[in-house]
Parts: sequence; C-alpha cells; structure tokens
Amino acid sequence: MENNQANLLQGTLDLLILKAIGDSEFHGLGVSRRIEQITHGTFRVKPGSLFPALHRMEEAGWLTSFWGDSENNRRAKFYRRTKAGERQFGIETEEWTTIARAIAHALKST
Amino acid sequence: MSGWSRMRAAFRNLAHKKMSETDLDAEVRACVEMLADEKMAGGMPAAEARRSALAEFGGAEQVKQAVRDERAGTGIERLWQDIRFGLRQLRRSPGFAFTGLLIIAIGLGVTTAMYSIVDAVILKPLPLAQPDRLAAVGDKPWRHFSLPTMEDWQKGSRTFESMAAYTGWAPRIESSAGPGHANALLVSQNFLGTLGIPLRLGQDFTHSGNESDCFNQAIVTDGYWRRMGGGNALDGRTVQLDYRTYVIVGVLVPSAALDDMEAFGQPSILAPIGCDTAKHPDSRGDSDFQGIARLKPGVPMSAALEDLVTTQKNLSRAYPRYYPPAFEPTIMPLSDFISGTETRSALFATLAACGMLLLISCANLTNLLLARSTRRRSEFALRTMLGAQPIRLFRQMLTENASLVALGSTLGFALASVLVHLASRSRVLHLPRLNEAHMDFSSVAFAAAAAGTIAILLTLLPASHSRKITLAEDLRSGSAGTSSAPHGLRRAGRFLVAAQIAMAFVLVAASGWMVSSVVILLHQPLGFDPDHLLFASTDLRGPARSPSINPAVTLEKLREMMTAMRVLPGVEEVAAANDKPLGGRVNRYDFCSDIHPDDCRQSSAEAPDVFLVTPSYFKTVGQTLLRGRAFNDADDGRNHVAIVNRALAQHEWPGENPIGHRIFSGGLKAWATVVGEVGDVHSYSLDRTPVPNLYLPEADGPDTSMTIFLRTASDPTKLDETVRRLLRSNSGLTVRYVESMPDLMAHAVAMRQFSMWVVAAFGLLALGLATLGTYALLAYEVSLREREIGIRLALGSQRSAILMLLLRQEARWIGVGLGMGLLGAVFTGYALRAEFYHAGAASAPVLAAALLLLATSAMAAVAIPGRRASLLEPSVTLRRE
Repeated sequence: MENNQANLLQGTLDLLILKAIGDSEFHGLGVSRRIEQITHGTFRVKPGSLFPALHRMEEAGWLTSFWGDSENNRRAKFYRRTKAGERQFGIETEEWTTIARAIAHALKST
Repeated sequence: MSGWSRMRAAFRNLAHKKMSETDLDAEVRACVEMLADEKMAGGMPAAEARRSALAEFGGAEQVKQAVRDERAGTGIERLWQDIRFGLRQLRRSPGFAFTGLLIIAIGLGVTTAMYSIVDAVILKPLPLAQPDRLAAVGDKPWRHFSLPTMEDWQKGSRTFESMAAYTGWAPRIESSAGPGHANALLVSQNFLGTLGIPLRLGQDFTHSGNESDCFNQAIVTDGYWRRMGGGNALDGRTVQLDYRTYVIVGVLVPSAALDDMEAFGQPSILAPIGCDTAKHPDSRGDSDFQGIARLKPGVPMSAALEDLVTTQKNLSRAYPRYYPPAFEPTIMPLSDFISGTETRSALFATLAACGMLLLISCANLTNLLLARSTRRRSEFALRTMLGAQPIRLFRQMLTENASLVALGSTLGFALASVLVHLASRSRVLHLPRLNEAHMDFSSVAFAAAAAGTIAILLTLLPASHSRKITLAEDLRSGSAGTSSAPHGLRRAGRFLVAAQIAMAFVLVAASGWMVSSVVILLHQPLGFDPDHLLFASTDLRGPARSPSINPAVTLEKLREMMTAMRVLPGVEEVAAANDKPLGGRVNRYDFCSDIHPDDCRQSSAEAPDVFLVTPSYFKTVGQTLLRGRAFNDADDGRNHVAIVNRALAQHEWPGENPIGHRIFSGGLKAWATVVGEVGDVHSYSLDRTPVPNLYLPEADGPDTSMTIFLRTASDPTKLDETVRRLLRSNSGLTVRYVESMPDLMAHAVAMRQFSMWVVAAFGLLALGLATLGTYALLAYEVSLREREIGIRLALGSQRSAILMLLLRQEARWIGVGLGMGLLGAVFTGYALRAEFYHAGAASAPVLAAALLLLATSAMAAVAIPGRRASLLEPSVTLRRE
C-alpha cells in the first residue's frame, strides 16, 4: 500500500484533495483520512506531501482556511473549497477523465 | 494557478512572516496531537502514543520545511537572506570590498561610457526615414564627380529610387542674425526628399528638374532660424548669400541629422545648386559634387554598386575623354560615410581596449576571490557538515559576488554617466552625433549584461574549487589559519596572472604604438614651418560681384591688402596662395612636360596639384628652396615661369636638374619654364604623404579665392582679431575664416590624440593592475608558504636561494604570460595598422620596450614579497603553529 504513494500521479493529489474536501470542511488529518476512505485505502497521503499541497492550494485561492474546534475539542485549521476551487475541480476532473479514458482505451486495444 | 493570487500570497508571506510561521506551527502541532489522541483512544499509553504519532507524521520540522519550500516567495526570501549575508561578509573585510568595488566600478564605468559613445556615433540608426536604404555615392579616384555624370547614373541604373548631389559652399552671409561667414550646402532640388528630412516650417525647394535653376530660395536649419529671431512664420524673411538675396522657403526640424554632421560640413543653410555661379552644373568634365542616394526597397548595397558600375562602363564608352580608365563609382552606407571609417576603427579599437581592461580587472578580482575562498574553506566545510547543500553554497557565493558586482556596477554606472556627460560636451572631440550620447536604455542593458557576466565569471572558478570540499582536512586546518592552498587553486591563480600579463602586454604595446604614431605625426617634417603662421581665407571678388572678373583689379586688391598687413606690428612676412598646406583642396589641370609632350590632351589622375602663389610665399611659409630661384615681382605673367616640388621633379625628370625644363599646364593654357625646385609639403593632410605640386605666380592668371599667410613674431592667435578687423574694413573682399596653423593641426589630430590619451591611460592602468595582481598573488603565496620557507631556512638554506626559488617558480608563469602577450600584440598591431599614421609606428622597438617594461614590473612584483619571504625568521614562523 505504502509504495503506491510514489505512484500518485503528478497533479492527481490536488484533484484528490479537492474531491475529498467536497462541499464540507476538514482539517489536515481529516483530509488525509478522507482520501484514504474514498480511495478504499489505496492512497495514504503523508503529511510531508499533504501540508505543502494544502498551503500551495490555499495560496492559489482554491482553498480557504479558518481555525475551528475538532471533534475532540482541539483547535485545528480547517480547509474549505472556494468558488475558484470548485471551478478547478471541474477542470481537473475533466482532464483526468480524458486521460483515464484514453489510457483505458490504449490498454484495451490489441 | 493564477499569477495574481500567487503574487498576493508571496507578498503576504513576506510581509507577515511571523504570523504565518506561528500559524503553521500551531497547525502542525494540532495535527500531531490529534493523531496521538486517536492512538490513545485505541488504548496506547500517552507517551508512546505521542512518539508513535510523531514517527507516523514523519517529523514535524521536516513537514514545516516542506511547506515553507512550497510557499510563494521563498526564493525571494532566500535571496534576501543571501544578500544580507553577503553584505555582512563584505563589511567584515573592508579592504577587499573597497578594492573589489573600485576595480569593478572603473572597469565597468569606462567600458559602459565607451559603449554609449560608440552607440551614439555608430550603432544608432540615423534619425532619417528608413536609414538603411540610404547610401553615399562617390567615385575613385577623386570622390567628387560632375552633375551630368550623376544624372546619367540615375537614368541608367534601376536600383535607385532617387539620387541627389551636394557640395560645400562657404559664402558670406548677411541676415537678421548679422553678417558673417556661413557653412552652406549647395544641393540638388531633391536632396531633402532623398534623405527624408522633414521641414518644421515652409516647403521644400521648387522642383524644376533643371539643376541650373536657382529661384533664389534657401532653407535654413532650426539653429540658424533661432539665431535669426525664430518664430513660427516665415513672413518672407530673406538672407543674403554672397550679396545675393534669397527667400527662406523652409526651416528644418530641430536637430535634423544635418546640423551636426562633419561629413556634410555642418551646414546652417541650404541652397539649390544653380545658385553659385562658380560651380558649373552643366560641365561633365568637372568634379565638384558628391552624392547621396536612396535605394529601392529590398535592394542590397552590393547590387546597387554593381548596377552603378555597369552604368558607368557605358558612360565611359560614350564619353571616353571625360573619364580616365581608373574612374569608377563607389557606394557605401550613409551611416558609415557619416561616422567615417577612421572614426569607426578608432572607436572600436578604444572599445576593445576598454573590454580588455575590464577582463584584466575581472582576472584580478577572481584572484582576490580565489585567495579569499581558500581562507574560507573551513567556513564552508563547517556549513556543509551542518547540512548545507553544495548547490546552496554555490548559490550563496554567487549572490555574494553579485552583491559586490551590483554595488560596483552602480558606482561604475554613475562614473559612466559623468564620463559620457563630459565627452558629449567636449569641445576637443569632433565626433559626429557625439552630442546625442547619453545613458539610455541600451547603455543600461549593456552595463547590466556586462555586470551579470562579471558576476558569473567571478564565481565560476572559486566555486568549482570549493565544490570539492574535503571535509576532514579543511576542518582540521581551519583553526590553524595557514593551510597550504590546494595545488589546483594555485595553478588557477597563476594562470590568471599569466593571462593578465598577456592582456596588459597587448594594451601597453598598443598604447605605445598609438602614442608614438601621434608623436611622429605631430613632429614629422611637414615641408613648411607651422609655428607662428596665421592664415586668412578670402574672396577677392568682394561684395559688388560682376560676372566678368578683371585680373588687374583682383591683383591690385590683393597687393593692397598684403601691404596693409605687412605694416601690422608683429608681422614678419606676408604672402598669399590659392590654397594652404594641409588644405585638402585640389586644383588639377591637364599637364605635361617636355619629356612627354603628347600626354597633354589626356586628363589624368596623376596630374600635379597646382598652386598660385605670390612672390614671397615660400619664404613666408618656410618651404625650402632647393634649386634655382623663387618668384619675384618681375614674374608678372608675361614670361610664364613655374616652380616644381621635388616629387614632381623626380616624377618628370628623374635624376635631372629640373631648372630650364618646360611644362604645359591647363591652368595657364601655355608652356612655362621651370625656374626653381622646392621641397615637398603635406598639402592634403598630416597622414597623407606629399604629392607632386606645381607652383605658378599668382600674377599669371589670378585666382579670386586666396588665402593670405602671415608669419608672426609671437603667438599668431594674438593677431587673429586685428587681421579680421583689417580684412572686414576693406569693402572690396569677403573673409571666409582666420585660423592659426597650430590650431588647424591640433584639430586634425584631435580624434587620434583623444584615442591616444585613452589608450595610454588604459596601458598604464593595465600595467598597474597586472603588476598589482602579480604582487597580490605572490604575497598571498608567501604567506601560505611561511612554514615551508621556515623549514628550509632552519635546515640551512641560503636566503638568496629562497629568493631564487620563488623567482624561478614565478618566472615560468610570467614567461608564459609574456609569450602569449607577444603573440597577441603582434596580431593586434597587424589588425590596427590602419590606426597608426606611420608604417614605422607599429615597430619592434616599441614592442621591445613594452616587453621590458612588463617583465621588469612583473619581476619587481615577485621580488618584493620574495625578498620579504627570504628575510623570515624561522624561529618565529615555525613556532607560530
């Protein structure tokens, strides 16, 4: 499972994060857990990749953050998608679908 | 990712660095704690849960660093850090910083200033419409041609859009700006249209298609218009040229390219060709005009020239008696014509000298940096051990040097601005378009590019060595302070010294040649005595010009004038001639001697230049009479006598006494007897060797355009005003100009003298820098080898043997440098031979002197630290560690 980490395609991390956050809000650990959950444990994003990505996406204006209380009452930084983030999610989903379809097609051909 | 939001983020990160840091810290900590909470909830003990959480998290600090690296503006922040560090380092060694800054500032400043001048004078396109289509048209062997010739060129060729003729004119001028003498240009009616110079007021000349039409129209430059009172209406204002009234029909735009162009004689007024009756626009045999042309779009110069040559071949077949066999049209880009080939090569040579000086400075500075990086090896080793990546160290070193170069360049740029300002206001330099020189965008770009190159050059060598860090050794030697520099580093340093010596050699040799050629030029035998000689160019036709000139009246006027001058206090001798030595004007007629009486009908480029002179002329200008007699008052034109110079005598009657031989001159339209032989003079310019001259008495067919010469007892310029006043008071003639011969000569060599001083200064600077570089390297080496020398001395080595050892080791490298320099100098001398007036200037003695000078100073630079090393006390140096 761990070595799948290296195979996480360049650029898919952003897509996964945007998808994982969806319309709700998560703190860093929550995003990580959510990705694990929605990929049925295929991807486990390490904090060393996750946090830089979150900060970068926030700087890009796709995410916005605020401080709130976690489920067990710890102050944590939560992330939420912005309008630009939603747009970006749409774009990246489309790109990914195209690629996935093309690869699948390529593999099926004889 | 949108650039704007990233830029905003970068700004936020840089501005609120502290806040984002605490934020990040809190976020990471919270995450670790939540992870630990989960584990504790799973039943793990608190301490182990925390440890395990941290392990799973992968190190809080590493994650934080990863986030920081990802953040916008990190690069800028690091750069800023490096710059601050670099500046601190520089402050810590002020001696190094000062030397470095000075070297960069001078090297870059001088080079940038020179570049700006070259840019303004040569590189910048002419301020005319589509300047690359403009060409200057001339011919071999005369440069000047007749108007019918040019009209036929235009008719017969297909590559020219238009062609226009012009010639200089120096009329007396009188207008609301007062009376005086003007530089005018007689031009064909399409001249301004061909050049594409717009008018500020009024319109172009009437185009009648016939160049002998005059219409009494004139166009003035904006400068002269303002002297006339200026204004925005022509109001039918008039100007008098040679006592003839012209209506001003147009005013050129301010700083129209013509104003400042030496090539066009810096005219202030333009008139159509037909207006000066002295020029005959219809005669094919004359050679009065020069031409400019606009090529059709897309036509290359070479094709235009080919076209023109073919056209001329047809013309030569049609009119064989007007064109000598060698006659051939020439064409060159107008910008080249205006800047002048001589100026171009002088400027490029000076720029190359600047560049070389800059390289020497760089080599010198690199040496300093090498020595410094050796001293800093332990610092770098320590930082590598603490986890700094080599690339980061390299970057930091580049930034350090870049801050040094940036500071130095700023100073250099300021220096360049001052230099350019001084040069553009200089009255000594007669460079076309020099007053346009200023520090503009291209100068800034040039300086920035040069500075960037310097920074990279400075970093490469020291950095490539510090990359190979041998941790253990460097750390150990760090505290001792005196390690032996690695072998490669020392070799690099010596190579740089050798390169400096080589480049300095080239500069010293070139400047030596330049200086000696100007000295030779100014002190060569001219064939006459220029000191205490004043001359005044006059027009004897005077104000009331009649179409027919009476020779008796002209002669009488001249005689009267000369008598009046002879009695002036301080005047020793007075004479007149229709042209002056170093004058450049040509009067050539058909010529033959009694040896080849049949050559007469052919017009030949080898015909002698003819001078009309008054009896005491040779005595006044100090031209030696070699044989026979000078003219006297009895030679009144009835007896047809002539005097030849040595060049003519040897050409016509080699090895014979010319006295008594007979010659025919088209000027006299008669045969004359040679009564005297005089020495050769430089009749054209200082650097053109004397040509055959023929002297005839002024009384024998007087010329109306005469130059009066005065030999004075003291400084001739003191008489300048007196002579002017005297000439002006005589209503029978007009004055063109009054000048002293020493002034004329100074003007003639001003450009070369400027180059000479610049190059001489560079030679000295280069010599100084190279010597300093050699000295610095050796002093540094000796300081590194103190211990070794101490051991040698302690083991019984002689002090003189130590000195010899050092000298021998260094002499090899100096020898290599001198050898390379010799090759370079010989090559440079060959490339620059056109710059030196005298073939003998690029001579071996100068080369030998340069070699000796460099060898001596380099050896002195080695000997001083070497001697100091040999005087070291082993008991002191060995105990120091």
